[in-house]
Amino acid sequence: MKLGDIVKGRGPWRNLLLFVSIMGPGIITANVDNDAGGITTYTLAGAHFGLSLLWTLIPITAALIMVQLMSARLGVATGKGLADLLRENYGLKITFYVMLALIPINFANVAAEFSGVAAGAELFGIPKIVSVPLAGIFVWWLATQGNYKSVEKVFLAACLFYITYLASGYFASPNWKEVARATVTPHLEWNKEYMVMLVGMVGSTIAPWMQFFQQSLVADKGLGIKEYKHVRLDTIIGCITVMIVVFFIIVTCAVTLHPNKILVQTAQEAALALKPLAGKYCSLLFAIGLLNASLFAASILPLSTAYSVCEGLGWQTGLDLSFEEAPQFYSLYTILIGAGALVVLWPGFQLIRAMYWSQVLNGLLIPVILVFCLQLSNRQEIMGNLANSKLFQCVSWLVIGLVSILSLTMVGALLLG
Amino acid sequence: MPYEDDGFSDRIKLRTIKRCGMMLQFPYHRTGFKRHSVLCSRTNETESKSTGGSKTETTHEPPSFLFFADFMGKRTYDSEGNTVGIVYDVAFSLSEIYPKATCLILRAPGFFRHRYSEIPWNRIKKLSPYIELDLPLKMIKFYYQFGGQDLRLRRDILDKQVVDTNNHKVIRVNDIHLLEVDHELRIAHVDVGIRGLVRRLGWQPVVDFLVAGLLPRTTYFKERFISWKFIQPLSLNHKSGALKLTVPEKQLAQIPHSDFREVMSNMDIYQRTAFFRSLTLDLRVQIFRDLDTDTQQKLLEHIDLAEAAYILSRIPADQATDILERLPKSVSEKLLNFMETTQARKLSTLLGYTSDSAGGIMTTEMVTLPHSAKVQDVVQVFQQVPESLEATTFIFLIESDNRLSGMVPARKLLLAKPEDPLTQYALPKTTYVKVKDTLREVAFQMEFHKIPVIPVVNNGKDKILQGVITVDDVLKHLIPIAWKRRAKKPSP
Repeated sequence: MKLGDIVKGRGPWRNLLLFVSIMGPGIITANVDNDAGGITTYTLAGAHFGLSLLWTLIPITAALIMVQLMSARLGVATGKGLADLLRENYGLKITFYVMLALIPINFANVAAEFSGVAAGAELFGIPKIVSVPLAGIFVWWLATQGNYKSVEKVFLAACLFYITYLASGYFASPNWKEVARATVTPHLEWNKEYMVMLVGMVGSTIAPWMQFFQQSLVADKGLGIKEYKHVRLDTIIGCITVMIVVFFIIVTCAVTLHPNKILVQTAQEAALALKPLAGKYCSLLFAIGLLNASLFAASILPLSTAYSVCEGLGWQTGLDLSFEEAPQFYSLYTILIGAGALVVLWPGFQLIRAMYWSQVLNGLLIPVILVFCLQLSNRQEIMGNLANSKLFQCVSWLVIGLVSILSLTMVGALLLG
Repeated sequence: MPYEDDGFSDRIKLRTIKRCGMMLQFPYHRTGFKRHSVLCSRTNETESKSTGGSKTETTHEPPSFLFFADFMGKRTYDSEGNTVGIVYDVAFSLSEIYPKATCLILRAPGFFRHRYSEIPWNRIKKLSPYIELDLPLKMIKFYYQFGGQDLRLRRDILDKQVVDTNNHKVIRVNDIHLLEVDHELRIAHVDVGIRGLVRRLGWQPVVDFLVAGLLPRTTYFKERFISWKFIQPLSLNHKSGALKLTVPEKQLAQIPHSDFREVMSNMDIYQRTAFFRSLTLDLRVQIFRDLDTDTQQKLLEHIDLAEAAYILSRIPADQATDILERLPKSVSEKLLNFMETTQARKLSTLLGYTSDSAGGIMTTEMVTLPHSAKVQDVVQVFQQVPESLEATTFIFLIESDNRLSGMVPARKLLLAKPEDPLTQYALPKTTYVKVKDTLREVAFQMEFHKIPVIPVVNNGKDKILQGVITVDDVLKHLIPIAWKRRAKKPSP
């Protein structure tokens, strides 16, 4: 008998309190996943293909949960970030090249987020020359507040804003019976556009930075094996809520834009097109959602990148250090934000280009990261009791193999046009 | 030896590790990295002399430095000139300050399922330009796996974290600087610099050339080395969840207990528990006493009730009370049941008082003697008193029914004759406080009478001795109050 068991008690209220204090890493990571690029992809999926891609959300959610749980478990069992683990178990060479790939990928993502901010702000009549620099400064300021605990609350609050998509889905007043049927009946169209969109959805849902980010959040929060039960719940809730938001985005676009054959290319166009079709509120909520999601992801991606790269290469990290103590960390962080914002302000820049490259690079790196994660979490000397069982290993290899094949197909399709 | 004259070897605090890494013994910013320029990276005489120890008669080859990054992957031949394999790892024994290589671990050529072989150091004929063994290939056995408790460069040092004692700054080992003296290999420095990183990646010639050409005034060529002397690895065994100490435990026991607190504050609760379990029971009690109450409480939650009870009964009673007070009542009662009865009775009395009263902060551990005792009795009592007893500066005299009758400063007894009665040396006036008295009153009384220990008696008129309060007990409760006041005051 352990004292801790008695102290902690077993009551449901106690459990709930404990969960509230632990919750964060899973929910935040999953929600950041729904960034400007993600929203654009889902908008297009709804606008171009109607409800016919809705069924994929269930398998994608399952894969997302599996992958994120793996990261959470690695974080809980080792107390280290993924970059740390890569460096310690695979050596410098591999870590270095993974980091070398991670920087441009996340840079493309950051640029996509800032252009999402620009697009969202333009819907409210704010020109991007104002909104993007302001967003950059806000993001920088937020992170340099240093205290993760308070920043985490801001992030959790940002997650609540995704409700706007649920509301805009409601205002679009779909035929729920039809929506329900489309959700559970698998449907495949054997043409190129459909397959590219399907693969694109998988690719924008499971992204490499998420593995790094969630694991380091879990590790930094000092969560251990004892809290794993709650960490798991946090991750699952995060993944499911985010997929519910995705569900509503697709439904909104599918029932309004698709029947009218409005083939939008961006989330901004979609928000504008929604106005005459589904009413002012629907459009407004859609725009708020886009702005919030972009700003939210723009706050997190540069920081996560700077942390992972510096961890992996053995440079000092932490916002509580001065510039002299952690020069590489601050330089990388600032450059990512500054350059990301500048690229967006560059005349002739298109969100589609940034998204295109971020998706191609994401697709190339994700199989590598997933294989490393799985190998690490199979090893008992690292994971202890949380190591994957034989059955789980087989299932994971299957899922990861499938995700990897889909990602690489997407890369091929994107590159070949 | 580098740093010998830097004047801070006396500041050495401790040698330990966090998360499979290593720990520096001083704040990172004090390392004052050894600045080797490319041109003079050859060793100087003094360094090799002090490192080698018994190497005075070395005449064969001049000692030279090499990097593990360059040594790794070197081709190895047997006595007949056949390829044996490439260098995979080197094992070292930790018995000296600068560890000596004991074993070379080779990997046989091949792509799938690598096979490894351990070659004892004395079978190596020469190290450069290539490695030659004085064994024929037939004699060398290869295995699919290799284990070993000794220090391995690749497994235990390379790419691991180095943590310093003060502000837990973290850097990583990019390369290891080895010293070759007369066929022997020793660890000299770990390289944490950017040039080491480039060397590991295999780009050194290109990058060196580019940097030298483009940035003539760069600091890139200044190597960032930390002497091995200041680094101590202890590897963490994740499988068993226990810290495995690769330094002899004896060495660990020499670290002052107060430093363990610092070590443990760098660990998470699992490592802490594992670390704690790896110590002997006595050491556990001693270290536990030095921890702050929060850490004590957390640690207690992770260990068995019986062990918790054992530890609680061996630390000062006032500390134990502090901890028990923080636990829910049901838990503290369970713990008290586990404890030996006399100790438990003492603690449950203490738990009855509120924490800011004299009764709440007092300890029941003190030296008491009957009123009629003689000086020689004190010596006898002191022989049995455990070392952990705090309040030994005074001896309290009691009458048959535990009534306080006097207090004797132990200092006075040094010059006393053994057969003198104790009352002869007692203070002229016995001061005391009552269990209900406030902390303020206690502090006031102690200051007024200038005594470091004050006895506590019951609330009635009969002065029955309940316990004593030492000046550090009072300070412990006053300091937080003082700090709060200071924080409230607006700064000038």
